[in-house]
Order: sequence, then C-alpha cells, then structure tokens
Amino acid sequence: MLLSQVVNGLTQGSLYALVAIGFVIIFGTMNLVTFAHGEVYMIGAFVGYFALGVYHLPWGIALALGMTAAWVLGALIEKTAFRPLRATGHMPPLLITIGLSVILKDLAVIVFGAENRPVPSVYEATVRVAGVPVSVLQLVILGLAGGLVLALRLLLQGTKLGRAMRATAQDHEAAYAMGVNVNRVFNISFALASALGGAAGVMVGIYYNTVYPAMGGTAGLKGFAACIFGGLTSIPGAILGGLIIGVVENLTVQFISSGYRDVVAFVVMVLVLLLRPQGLLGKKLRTV
Amino acid sequence: MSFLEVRGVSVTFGGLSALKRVSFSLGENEIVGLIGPNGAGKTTLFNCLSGFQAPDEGSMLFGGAPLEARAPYQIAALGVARTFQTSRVFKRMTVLEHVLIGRYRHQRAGLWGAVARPRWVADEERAARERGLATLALFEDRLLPRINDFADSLSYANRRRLEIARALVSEPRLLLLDEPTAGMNPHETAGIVTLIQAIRGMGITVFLIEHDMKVIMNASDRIIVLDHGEKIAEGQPSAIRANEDVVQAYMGRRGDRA
Amino acid sequence: MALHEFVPGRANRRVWLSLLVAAVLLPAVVRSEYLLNTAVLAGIYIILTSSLNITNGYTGLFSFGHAAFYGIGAYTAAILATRLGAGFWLTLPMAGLVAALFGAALAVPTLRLSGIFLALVTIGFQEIAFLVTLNWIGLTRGPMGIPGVPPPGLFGFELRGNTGYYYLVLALDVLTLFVLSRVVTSRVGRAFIAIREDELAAQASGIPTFRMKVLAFVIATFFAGLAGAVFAHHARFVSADSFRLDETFVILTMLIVGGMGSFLGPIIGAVALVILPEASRFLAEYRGVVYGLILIGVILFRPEGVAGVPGIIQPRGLLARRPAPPGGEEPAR
Repeated sequence: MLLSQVVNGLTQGSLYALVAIGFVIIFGTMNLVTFAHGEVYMIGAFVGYFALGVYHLPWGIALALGMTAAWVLGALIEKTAFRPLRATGHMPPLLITIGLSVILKDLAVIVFGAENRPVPSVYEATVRVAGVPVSVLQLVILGLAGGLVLALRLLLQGTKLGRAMRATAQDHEAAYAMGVNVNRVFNISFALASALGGAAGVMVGIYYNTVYPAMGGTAGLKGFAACIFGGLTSIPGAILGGLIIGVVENLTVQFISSGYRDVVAFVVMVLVLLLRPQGLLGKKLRTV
Repeated sequence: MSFLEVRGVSVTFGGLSALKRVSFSLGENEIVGLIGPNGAGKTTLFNCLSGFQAPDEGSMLFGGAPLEARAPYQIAALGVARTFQTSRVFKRMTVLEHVLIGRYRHQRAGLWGAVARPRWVADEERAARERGLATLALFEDRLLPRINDFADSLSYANRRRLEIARALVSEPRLLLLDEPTAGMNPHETAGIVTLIQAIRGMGITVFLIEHDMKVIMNASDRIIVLDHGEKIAEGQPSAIRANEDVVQAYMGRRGDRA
Repeated sequence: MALHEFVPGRANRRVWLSLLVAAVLLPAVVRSEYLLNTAVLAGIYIILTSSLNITNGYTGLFSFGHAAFYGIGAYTAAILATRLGAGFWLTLPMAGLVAALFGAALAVPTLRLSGIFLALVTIGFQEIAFLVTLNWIGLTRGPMGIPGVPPPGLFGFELRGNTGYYYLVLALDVLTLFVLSRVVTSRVGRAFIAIREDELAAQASGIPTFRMKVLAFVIATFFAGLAGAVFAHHARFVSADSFRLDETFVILTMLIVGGMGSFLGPIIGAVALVILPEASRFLAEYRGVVYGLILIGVILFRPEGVAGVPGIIQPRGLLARRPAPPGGEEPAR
C-alpha cells in the first residue's frame, strides 16, 4: 500500500518535474521568471483534451499537438513580452507574465467554461511490478517523462543548439561575442520549456481524466517550488524536487488528510527559501 | 584611550587575502590619507570600519568601543560616517531629504511620533531641517538652490558632494571618504580639498582614500599605504613620497605578473 | 507639482478638502444602489492598494501575499462576529491586529530575503494560509465559508443599504489615508524610501533597515486586515476562495496602474480599476482579460502608471539576494 502510494507520487512527481525543468531552462538561460508557465501548461492540456476527447485522435498525437501548441505559445510570449523588456531588468517581464497569466486563464474560462472537461481514459490495465500494483498508464507517464528528460539531455550535451544554449546560460554576452544568435537561443529555450510544460499538461489531463482552466495556477506554483528546491538552475535538482514533492504529497494524503495535499509543495518552497535559498544543488546565484 | 585603534585586522575572500594583519591608529582632528595600488584593500578596510565587512581576525576600537560584530547602522550611531567609492545617493529623494535622512540618528520619532505629530516631533523636524540647510551651505550655491530636486537630476560632481553632505550632517566624529574626487575636474577637486580641511576644522577626523596624489599630499596630515592587503608604510606626506617601498608598490615589482 | 508629489497636508488643504466634500456629497447625487455598492468596493480597494504601496512602493519590498492578510482580517472579523457576537467596532481593530501579528510573524524570518525570493516566500505563505483556512473546519467552516456576518451597528442602529456602508468606508478611507500620509512624510517614511533606493547607503546613514522593513510590513498588513473586516461585514459572507494569489494580483495591478511610491497612485488605481468593469457589461465579463491587458500596457508604455514615482519598476535587481558589501577592488593576487 505504501509502495503503491510511492508509485503514485513518482508518477505525479515526474509531471511536476517537467514543469519545473521548464522554469530552470528559462531562468538558467535568461535569468528571468515567468508566472505564465502554468497557463501554458493548461493550454497544452486543453489542446490535448480536444485532440483526444473531442476528435478521438490517438493519445500520442494529442501529446504532440499539445506540446506543439505550447511551443508556439511560448515562442510568442518570449517574442512579444520578454524580448522588448529584457534590458530593463527582471521586474517588468515578471509583471507582464502576471498579466498574461490572468488573460490566458480568463480567456480559457470564457471560451471553454470554468467547469471540468472529462478526458477519456487511455490505458486501464494494471500490472504488478515487483509485487506492487502499477497501472500501465503510470508506466507510460514515467517512461514518457524519462524519455523527454533524456531527449533534453541529448539536446543539451550533444547538439550545436544545445551547446549554444549552455553557453548562453553561462554568459550570454560572451556567447554573443562568440557568434551565438542569442535572441534565437532565448526564443527556442522559452519555447522548449513551454513545450515540456505542455507535455505535462496533456499527461495530467490523461492521468486525472480532467482538464479545467484553473489547473495551471497550482501546477505552475508547484513546479516552481520543485525548481526552487533543486536550486533554480539545476535540472537534476528540479527533477528531484518534483519527485520528492509528488511522493510526499501522496504520503500526506495517505497518512494525514487529502485536504492538505497541496500544502506540501508550498511548505517545501518556504522551508527551502528560509533555510537554503540556493536550493539543494544550485550554484551560487548570479546577483545583479 | 585612542580615537581609533585598529590591530591585526585580516580579511580573506575564498583563499585571497584582502587584508593582512593591518594595524594603525587615528587621532582626533586629523586628516589621514589611505593610498595604495588597485586591489590593495583600501575599500575593504573601509568596509570593515563601517560594518559592511566582518574581519576574520583583529580588532577595531573606536573610542574604546569595539566595531567588530556591529551592524552598519550601529556603527553610524557611534559617530562614524562614510561615503562610497561608487556614489550612492538616493536617486528618487530630494537633496533636502538626503540631509534630513542624514540626521536619522539624532532624531527619535517613530511610528507613533509620525502619526500623532506631537510638538517635540515638529521641533525635531525643524531642527533637522535647519541643520541640513546649514550643512548644504558649506557647498556654497551648488546644492542649496536644488534642495527640492531629485538626486538623480544632479550633475555627477554634485551627487558626490551630496553624499558628503549626507555624511557630514550626521555630525560624525570620524568621516570615511572613499575617493571623493573621482571623476572631478581640477577645479572641483580643489574645492573638495578645501572642504576636507574645513571638516577637520569642525573637529572631525577624516580618513581619506584617494588616487589623486596631489589631493592626498596637500590634504593629509599623515598617510598610510597599503599594498596587497598589508600596511607597507605610514608617515608624513614628504616621507611617503620618498619611500622606496611605496614607489615600488605603484610601479609593480618585477616578477609580479603571473 | 507632479502628480506623484502630491501628499495631503496643510499647504494643499483646499485641494483635498474639496475632494472630501465631493466624496461626502456623492450619495446625494448618485442614487443608484448599484453604483454606491461599486463605490464601497472602490473604498475597500483604496485601503488595500494604499497599504500594499507601503511595502512594495515606498520600501521596495516585493510582497506578493497581500490578499492573505486581507483574508486573515476578514476571517477574524467573521469569526468574532458569528461565534462571539462581537460588534463591528471590536472586530475591526481585532482584524487589523491579528493581520498585523501574522504580518510580523511572517516578516521576521523572511525579510532578510529580497527580490524574487521574498516574492516567492510571500506567495508560499499565501497559499499555505489558504489551504489551512480551507482545512481547519473547526475554526473556519472550511469550504463552506462563514455566512451570516452581521452588518455594523451604531448606537443600536444597524447599517443597511449602501449609503450607510458608503459613509462607513469613506470614514475608514479618510482614517487610513490620514495615517499613511503622516507615515510617508515622516522620519519613518523617509527611512522606507531610503531603503528602497539604496539599502546599503541607508544602513550607512544609521537606519536599522531590517527593523524598518518589518515595520513597513506590519503597517501594510494591519490596514489589509482592516479592509478585510469591512469586506466581511459588507459582503456578509467570507470564503477562503476570495483571498488567493489571484486577488493579490488584482490589488497589485491596481497599484501598478495607479502608480507605486506615491500617495495618489494607489487611490487612482483602485478607483479606476473598480469602476472600469462597471462601465460596460462587456468589460465586466472580460474583467480578467481587461486587467491583464491594462497591466501589460502600463508596463510596456508607462511603467510608473498614472501617478507613480518614475523608475521604481525598472532598474531593481529582482534576484539580488542580499546586498553585497560595497564593491572594493578585487583583492590583488
């Protein structure tokens, strides 16, 4: 019973991790924070819902469409909101993303209605892994999340674009001096982060069989908590943070009460900020 | 009891020694220059004296009171004031507000005083304003006509003067000036030298970091020289000028470049 | 005189007195209950934006948790009124005090953080407060909220109808703005601004910056609590859902649009953004989108808002954790 809660936690946690990695990519590359990430996740989830639930496309297509929609939205946000203001500091872009998140959520309510939309089930079977009952869907999600992380690692370590992204994250001025098209790297980084968030959104919709406009708010904040836990600039840290939050949440539901489930992420975030603001694995932050 | 007694102060930044067992003392009513090549540790020493940097070892006694482990505002309350190497004015506060803020430690009004405004608060504000205007008058007509202007609308030189005014108005006993003439033309620089001498005339000890040798030689009663975090010389300007070690420090020792 | 320089005082008596007279006469001219209700709402938001302005505008702290203290005040008033039968004249100050106590309790461990870290910890606190409120059914009735909060009474007369509430809120606004105007023009207010402008130079000038930041926080949360009490007795029903991050964003948007760091800014922002959605049904339905667009427009084209002090939003380092010691030269090798 305990172990199956852990599996539940790891599954949910891997989805938090995807959102958190998005924050790490954006912050690590551009030194900026976005409050609209949760809404991008939500839009991805809705696109996935329409593909899967309304048009009855295979879930893989739904996932691809959701990620693409999120990518495009992310690229748009970066180009219109972040780029013109990047030079002015951190506050203006942050405030713009607050405005965007409010707009996106409100539009979603207006267009889709505030109520939950049901997402059809994908895999209903359960198997036993090492004696623990695990649903096939959970295995798929874990595999998918793992696959995306692996693909990300391959991108960052093994491709020219990845090297450009890492160089820009280290020192964007030096990267620029070395011929990297920093604007393009920023845009791709933001879009990529958004796509990961969109993937998480689609999978959450499938896992819980529901999407709704307000789903982005808490998910975004929890992803941020995981990112803070790991240290704002560390991808492995963000993954660890997401998984830990997911597991502790499920254990809390099991042993304390389901109402306090959401509190875990925020308590983690507050504790990390008070006790070790650079997070578990983060490097010394660039002060301004 | 000495005015300012610094003994064996050391500061290390991750393996690099910024200050190595620096010892000296300052007396009342004197102008002491602090010179040394870039990276010698001068501003670090100022940071220690004003509470922005905790020394790893050593002691600093100001009128017998230890300065270590005190927050900057506590050291300001003891009568130590400073200016900064990169001018730190309050951009969106007026010139008048700067000198009013400089009187912070001489005022008592807290939240209750702010809201209820009893007679003593109004008196305190009036006194602070008078004091502030008097201090600004030391700068002739450079700051007084601009008392209601935001600091970021002032010229560079005026901003540096404003910083000195803000420090002065607090009636310090020890004034730390960090490169007050940086970026000023010779005419403005001469004005600062006169001002520093006038400050000494008010009974304040001035500890002065400067790169402009003319200023240091003209204004200082004594000079302390740092190099690579160590005190390598101390004495009268004429002696320092002739000191071989000092000249070497500025020229750079052969074999120093890694 | 620039808009952002206006602070009520003896010198500009004529201006603010005329405004006050106009405000007092408003219900005689405006007869619609609906519009008076809007005015009451504007009055509540004036308190909220003006108090947030103390921390975020004058002192330069990124507090993103204001709605939580608004909610703590509202719940305090509601609980005292419905459980203990306390009247408005007790619930009002208690709401402020309890909110301020929570404000102090949050401020002390967290105000050594700055920038985005402070913002996040205040958001974290806000969400935790929401979840605890939702789950502590014994105290707060959880998701059912607290209904039946009685209207304020004065000498046995119960306040009914929006005219009464309007004058109550007006009186509270006058009180709040009076207190805050005195704070910002005093030694305390100067210290707040100095901390915003340059915390290191403020410390060197003798200001105990940590203590003052906590004071700013306590002042802001006290008034947020007062606003909560007014809300509780006016809406007659409190529920945790009204006091989340969304609500903080609304207050923050009003403050930014009106202008941070000035006296008039928050007032203008609150009034404008409460009235605007009432101007047309279209705007009311699309309130969120409208607010978001206005916020984005302001940031892009006029970050100081209508009447704010120019430059507050721009050059601050969001990620500066703790001011580094004033840069000396790199230690020589």
